[in-house]
Amino acid sequence: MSLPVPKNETTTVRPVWFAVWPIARTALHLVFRRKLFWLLFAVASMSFLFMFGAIYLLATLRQQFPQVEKLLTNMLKDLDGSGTTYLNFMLAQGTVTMILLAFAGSVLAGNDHSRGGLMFYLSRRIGIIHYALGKLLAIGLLISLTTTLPALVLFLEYGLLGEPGDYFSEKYGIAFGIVGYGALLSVAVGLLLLALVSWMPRPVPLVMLWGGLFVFLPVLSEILSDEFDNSHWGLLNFWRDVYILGSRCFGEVDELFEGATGVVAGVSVCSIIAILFRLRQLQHRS
Amino acid sequence: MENTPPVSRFAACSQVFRLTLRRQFFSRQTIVIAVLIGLALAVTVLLSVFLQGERNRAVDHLASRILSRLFVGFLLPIISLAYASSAISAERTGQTLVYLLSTSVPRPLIYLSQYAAVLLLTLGVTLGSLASLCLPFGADGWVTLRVFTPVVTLATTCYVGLFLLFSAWVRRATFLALAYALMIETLTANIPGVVKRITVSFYANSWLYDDSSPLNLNPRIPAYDPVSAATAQWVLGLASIGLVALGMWLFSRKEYD
Amino acid sequence: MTLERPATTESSPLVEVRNASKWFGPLMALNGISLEIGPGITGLVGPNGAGKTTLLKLLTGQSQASLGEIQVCGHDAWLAKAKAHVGFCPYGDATWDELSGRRLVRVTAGLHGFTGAEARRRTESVLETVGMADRADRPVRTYSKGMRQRIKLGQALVHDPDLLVLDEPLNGIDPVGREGLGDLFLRLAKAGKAVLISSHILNEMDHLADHILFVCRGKLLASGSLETIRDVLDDYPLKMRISCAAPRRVAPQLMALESVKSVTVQPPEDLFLEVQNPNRFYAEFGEFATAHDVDVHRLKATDTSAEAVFDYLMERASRPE
Repeated sequence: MSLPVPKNETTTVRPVWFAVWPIARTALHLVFRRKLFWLLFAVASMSFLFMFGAIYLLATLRQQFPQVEKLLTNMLKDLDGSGTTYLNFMLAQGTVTMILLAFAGSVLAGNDHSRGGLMFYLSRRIGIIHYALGKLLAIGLLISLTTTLPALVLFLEYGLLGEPGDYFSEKYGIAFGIVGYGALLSVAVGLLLLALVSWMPRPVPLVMLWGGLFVFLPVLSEILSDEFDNSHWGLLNFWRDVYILGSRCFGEVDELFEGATGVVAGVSVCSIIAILFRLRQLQHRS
Repeated sequence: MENTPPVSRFAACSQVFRLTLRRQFFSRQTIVIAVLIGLALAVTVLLSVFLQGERNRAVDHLASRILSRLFVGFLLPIISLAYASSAISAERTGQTLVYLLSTSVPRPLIYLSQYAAVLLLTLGVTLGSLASLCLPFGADGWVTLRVFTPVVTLATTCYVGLFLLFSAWVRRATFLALAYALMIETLTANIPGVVKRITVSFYANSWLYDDSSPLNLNPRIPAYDPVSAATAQWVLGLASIGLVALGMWLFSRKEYD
Repeated sequence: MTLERPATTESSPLVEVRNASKWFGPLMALNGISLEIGPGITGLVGPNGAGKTTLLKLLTGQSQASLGEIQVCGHDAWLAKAKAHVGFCPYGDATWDELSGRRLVRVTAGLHGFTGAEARRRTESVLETVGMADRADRPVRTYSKGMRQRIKLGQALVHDPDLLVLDEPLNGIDPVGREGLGDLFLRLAKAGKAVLISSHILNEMDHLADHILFVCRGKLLASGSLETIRDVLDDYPLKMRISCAAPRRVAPQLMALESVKSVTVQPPEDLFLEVQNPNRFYAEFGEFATAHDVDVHRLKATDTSAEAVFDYLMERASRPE
């Protein structure tokens, strides 16, 4: 059956790149529908709520007992409102973000590969690049939800509970740092996750590999660094590598910066190749 | 065909056992486990060569770092998780659980047979990998292996019971198990007070930290307050039995779609 | 497996469902259904969401009724004792795909407690029955849809169940495959088994089922043979087609019969009648044809098919009470 379009009517079709957003939106919708996601998200929010409360408490104490400010600042160095505060918060979100991403990766991309959902997308005007970008965008937004967004809220809270004019005018660069580190996390971790999910769509092997990368390798890197007294073993910790690159957004330079750049860039390039190769393979197979 | 065919309930349970064992062993998780153990083994061999002349340091490194942190802290729960959390939930997501539930084996026995299969496989892998991690350290490795073997055995029994319960309870048991293994077990381990007593690793570590142990392992945080080895053994043993019983009860009542 | 009618046939039904209801939260999937199933082929028919799958799950012990009672061979369907009498072929393609067909059936035999030579004998016998003996060594993942369906049927039959429950067994099967499976169901029914087939394909039910259960919105609309149900639908006149010589002459004479509501002539030789009371009509028409020397070539009810009956039942169910 065909539905002819009347000759005097014209249909406007948006460029195919616009399809990236609906793909991401659908993927996010799939994740948000699961109760387990909200359970994990609640756990992820605990650290944020703790920081939020601590900043509020600190501001109250500063106002009511100005004489103890120095003592408080010395005691709670991580809550001094500098870039380190937000950088450390985003680093600390690593474990729960990792668990959340393992779950999300399986739901938003794993099912497409294991149950033939990819055909549904590729039978439209979109190609594998648009599909991959849509999924990456969804993963990036999820990462932002547990790292960048809460860090920005903490930044706003810190400024608004003190002298907003001074804090925001002096430290506006921190906001760019948070966004920069968040974007870096989204791209690097998102690419790695999508590559793993493409090749390992079943949840159990995916979870094990993901756990291996973000728990096993860091412990291994710690043991090796201590034993051989060589900090370069620390580069095995991928989340830490991204942190080292992210700290550059806050103006801090780590001695392992070059090594971390090499690891993150290498992993990202390998991930891109793996994703494209796998998607093309699946496209031909279907 | 005869009206009263010779059927055996034991044979039916043993078929569930063999099927579970086969499906779990010939799976991708076995490959990933092999890769992780291979990496751990490579580092262990490297360390054993590096610390060849320093006997005390070698034993300390093997027990406190490789076995306590890497093996008991990560590999043991992740191996248990890999096999136990997927045993029922993989059948469920693959829509093959219906074939098991349509047979004349009572549901509690299906669960028990699956538990036995997963436990055997997990114990084989965990104890095998424990032995392979200890052996490069020679005689000292044997001493360490003897201390860790009962701890790993009972902790595995408990983890398998817990993760199989998750598997019978929720469809996406793997993620719940991962969240438990990496968040509850890890986070509460460093919290002072009694909260950590809800975790398997606390009792496993308490057993290792007991004064009677020849390894002289100590908690990493001062306020860890471990229980005695005897208490840890009782708790792990009873928890294993309790978790299996709870799983059998849940599995026998739950309706799966 | 030998498919021969047993020496003694049980008179009591194999399945008894008494006032069974099933809720899923606020959704009532089944509403006070009562039915009995005996040997022979029973068709379970209804639109999507009617409660067919829920009913099958209750019968095979996958679910428990929220209210009411379900007995299979005298045992509660939820219990393992009842499952020994039931063979279930679920909807969809899912099986243990990595196993070969033979291994799959052998494993199922093992799951029912058969060992060694007995399990092997049953496996080979059932593979022969479902026509898969020569293709059973390939992994199931390489099978076509029809082959999968046959192997699934094999695993359901391996313990020689009294009740065989088949959820959409003809779905996605080509016509040749359907015919083959249909013949197999008929042979099983002849061997004294109760075969319950849930299906959307109503035409197949015409040929296969001796007894049909019509389900809609969780309720049992009707059960019985198609003819019986059609007879009960007396507010829907039976439509008949009569082919005879000189239909224009016969038509006004037929209108004189009390059971005939209307007659339409369709040259060259067809008459379409609406009949109020079919039994009475058959009696009257016999006398009429003899008395008027009508040369009848064909006499056929045109709306006694499962599809037509189902449409009437649905229409009746949708009427305000």
